[in-house]
Amino acid sequence: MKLPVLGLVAALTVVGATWLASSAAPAADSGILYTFRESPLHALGLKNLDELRGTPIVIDFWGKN
Amino acid sequence: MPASVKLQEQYGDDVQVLFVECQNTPKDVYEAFAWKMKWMGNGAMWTTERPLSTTGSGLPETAVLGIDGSVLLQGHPGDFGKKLEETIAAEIKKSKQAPAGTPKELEKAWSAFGKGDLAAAIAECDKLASDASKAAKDEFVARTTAKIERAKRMIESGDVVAADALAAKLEKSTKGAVDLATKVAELKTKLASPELAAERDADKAFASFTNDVAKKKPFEPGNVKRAESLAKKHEGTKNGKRFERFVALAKIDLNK
Repeated sequence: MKLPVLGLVAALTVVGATWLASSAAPAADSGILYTFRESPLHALGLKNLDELRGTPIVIDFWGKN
Repeated sequence: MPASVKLQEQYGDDVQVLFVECQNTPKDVYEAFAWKMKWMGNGAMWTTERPLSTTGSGLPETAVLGIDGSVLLQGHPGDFGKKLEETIAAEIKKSKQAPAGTPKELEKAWSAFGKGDLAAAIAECDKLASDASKAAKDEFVARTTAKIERAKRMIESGDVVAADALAAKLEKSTKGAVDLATKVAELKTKLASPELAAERDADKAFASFTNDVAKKKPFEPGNVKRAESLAKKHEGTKNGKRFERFVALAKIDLNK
């Protein structure tokens, strides 16, 4: 019985690591790197945060409620 | 009004504000909410994706990334005081200068690049022919290539006026830098094609509409009616869809 459970844990670990890598990845020495899965609203063609290198970015985390 | 909206309005293209909705609110609902609160029409971007983790101390939370992409400030915006504006102002100033640690002999190249003269910047690097000058040249070319690619994506998303403006800047900047100038010429040819004329008109109409309604009462019946009529007029374009979306957003009940 232990084998399927271990397999599930391993699979979840891989999925979790992949998700983390695709969402928020601090670069080793060059700041935050991030590729949007879906283009932000009013993105004007922006795909990666890295494309804004040279411009300061203000990230406002907010909630509607 | 969130301070970040004011920052985007105050600094324009010198700063990029990114709003990240963190409460799993559906896109339509938070977009309608932002229109209703008169937060639209200023160049800020909106998403639900978090480019970096929050500190977990509650919302709202603000992070400032410097021109090198590093996190300079992060926390509750009310705790920053003058530090927020001072940090942004300092980064904007830095953005117009050579990066910290640039060898003295490369300052002229960076200065030319900062003024939008890529050809002069490259010529300066070629003259020096050192490892540092080669790295600087590669950086100039990479940044310019990224802008060309972004302009192409602007065309795809219907942001033709912004693509026109960026292409004009790139044309001036790459004059004399043969490879990149050729790519910009291709971009300009695409922008001049007849099939983009209708999209350009629709894009101008949407920008004008947004300017008119964003700071008043966006979802007033008169504005919605105007959007409906513009959606019909610009049917078949991406900006026509934006008018349709505005009409749909106006119908969302935000009290539910």
